[in-house]
Amino acid sequence: MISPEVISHTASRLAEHARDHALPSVTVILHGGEPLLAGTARLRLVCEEFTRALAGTAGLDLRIHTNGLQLSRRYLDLFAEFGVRVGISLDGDRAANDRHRRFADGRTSHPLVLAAVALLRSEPYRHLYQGLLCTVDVANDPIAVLDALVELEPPRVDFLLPHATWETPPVRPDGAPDAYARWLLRVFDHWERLGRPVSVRLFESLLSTLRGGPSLTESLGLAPTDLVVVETDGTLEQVDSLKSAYEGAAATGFDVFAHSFDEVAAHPGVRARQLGLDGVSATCRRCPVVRSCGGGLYTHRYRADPDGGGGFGHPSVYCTDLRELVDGVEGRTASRQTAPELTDPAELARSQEQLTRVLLARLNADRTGDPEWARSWELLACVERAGEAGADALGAVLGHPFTRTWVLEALDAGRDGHPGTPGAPDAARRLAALAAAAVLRGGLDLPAEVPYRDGEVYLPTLGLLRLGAPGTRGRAALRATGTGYAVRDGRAEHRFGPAAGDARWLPVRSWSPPGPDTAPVALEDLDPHRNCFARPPRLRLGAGEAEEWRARLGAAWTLLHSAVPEFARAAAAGLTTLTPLAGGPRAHGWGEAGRHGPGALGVPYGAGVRETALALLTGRRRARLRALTEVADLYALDGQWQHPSPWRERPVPVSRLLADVHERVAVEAYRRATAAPEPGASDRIQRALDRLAGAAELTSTGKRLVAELRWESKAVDA
Amino acid sequence: MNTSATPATSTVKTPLVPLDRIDVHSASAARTLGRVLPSENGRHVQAPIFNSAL
Repeated sequence: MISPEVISHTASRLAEHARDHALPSVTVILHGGEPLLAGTARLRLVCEEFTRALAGTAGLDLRIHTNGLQLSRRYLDLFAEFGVRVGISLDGDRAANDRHRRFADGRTSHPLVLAAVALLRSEPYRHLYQGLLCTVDVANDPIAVLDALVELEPPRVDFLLPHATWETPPVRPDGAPDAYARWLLRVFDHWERLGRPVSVRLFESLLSTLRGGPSLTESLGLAPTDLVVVETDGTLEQVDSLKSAYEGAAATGFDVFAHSFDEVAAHPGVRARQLGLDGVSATCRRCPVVRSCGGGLYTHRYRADPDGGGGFGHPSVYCTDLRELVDGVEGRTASRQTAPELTDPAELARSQEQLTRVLLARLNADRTGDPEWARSWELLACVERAGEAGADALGAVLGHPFTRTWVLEALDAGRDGHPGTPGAPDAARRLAALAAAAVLRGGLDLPAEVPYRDGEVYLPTLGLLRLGAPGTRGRAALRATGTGYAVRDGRAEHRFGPAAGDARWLPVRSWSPPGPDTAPVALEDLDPHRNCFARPPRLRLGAGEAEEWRARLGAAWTLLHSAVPEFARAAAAGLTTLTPLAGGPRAHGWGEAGRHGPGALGVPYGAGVRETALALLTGRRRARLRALTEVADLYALDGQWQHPSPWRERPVPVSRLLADVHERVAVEAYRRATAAPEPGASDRIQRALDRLAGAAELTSTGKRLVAELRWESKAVDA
Repeated sequence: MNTSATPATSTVKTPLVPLDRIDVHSASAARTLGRVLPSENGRHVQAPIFNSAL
């Protein structure tokens, strides 16, 4: 039994570790053997010591895992006092449970476990019910097992594969290498049929990693293991399951009396389970499902070497099962797991709108204590509350692509540690201008005051207002009039806008693409935050230049629609803002997507019609992929693998390969349609798509995108 | 030529949370921010992953 000294030292060590690493919380799981055999007095000491040691340092999540046979009110009262949550081992229905969990004399333990669960589910203990842990035996009926577990309404269930290694392989009654996958997939299908009535950690971990999220269990996925086991005598060990590999496999040589948890964390055996992808075998690294299976539970990888040693640098003894399980779950759920933003442009637009709003709210949280900011923030809230006109006006100014640029730059400035420095008044000034522009757009009767600097202020989406000589600064009150806007600077009121220019008002121009049902596109050459492309923007175009550019854009638009109408329609969708860039077209004349909201595109002002058409096409493809990656997970662990690229000398991360092929499918379509195909382009695209098809980084959504690119590419070849 | 089926456009618009009521510390906001602000994606509390207990 664990001694008071071990309890006290362990609690101190844990508190020391939490303090040193500023951990927000730690989890302590009382585990066995059978931890209830320690008795209530010793368990009370455990609860008291850990609660006392962690108080004021970190949150304490206390749990116990038991076979339930001894669980009584005396224990549950103690657990209720300290908030100890209880997990119980139960292998399913009575037949399943009796297979491995009988008393020594052969009697069934099943009724006792059910009684313990019933007590735990009753008031006042119900909130302590953590869930049920079920060890798989393929001889059991998977449907009956899940039904039996579900009937007990556990908050969570997990299925464990039996401990096994390559030296002691798992029982396979029919000799099938995938018996465990088939068993678990039958459970999965039944779980789905029942409407996922209970959280199942194993399945939810797979669904999470397939979406690009984290693993939820050390038995699956590449999450670093952050566990240490304290034995009853105070020795510190790696996870208990390792003991099934070989005698002493879990040992570290450390104990709580002489060693800190930092020392255990540096132990090679512990480190090996924290290496993620670097910790799995070379075979696993090449496998497309490794992000989901993670090479399996560390213990299950053990294999003896011919020279008498042994190691864990192997695939799991359950490798075939794991591959089939991951593929099976993916195949069953891929269409539902695909992010709606990929298939529905309206969803993409909505998620992008939400992203800008959350980013702005995040920036607001950084600006506490800035009265200038607070005034404008309150004005924005008033605009949003001012009915449909207000909400639409707010949507327009927040949807302005360079609003995103500004928010991201302001967040960067705050993170770099200089809030309150020049970036800070800039941010507050921009928010004031944004709120004022929303008031004007909505024709709202709200007081809108903007500070100006250097004699002018840019009102997002509307234009640039000159209020004084260069170098002057001040404040001006703005309001909407029946036909335009008015500004009061001191005692004088000046009317301006919205479209007609005068010496003091430079409106944002627009361009109407040819064709029916096209929405005007802003020609944005005023916003200071438009400088977010790989090369600088042009200064304000002269009236003649703007007219010439409109003509080139119109001709390019017509060319694009006649050459590749489907791609052209996709390029047009969501385009709100074109910014003229300095210089002529780059090699290939491709357009540019910068760090901005999804509606913008930078196009070299000096590009001819054909280059402008290609710039529109490629720039929009880039912008769409960027917009997708900002709101959906197309891949995870980008950069962990390097892939050969048909277009680059050096191997590239998956994000680069995907971006290249995403763009080139459209370019090749355009070139073929304009009788200028690039020799070998189709083969290169196919090679890249083949490589992507086996890339472990891709999520279900990423794979769907790759499949779409293949369809597009085949259509180009046809 | 793009032959992928014309995507279905959803018609039911989810109401937006008012700007001044967005909880930037919620799990959903953290997920949203984590994709575009790498620094927001750093330290997070990982649920216990111990295989032998829930």
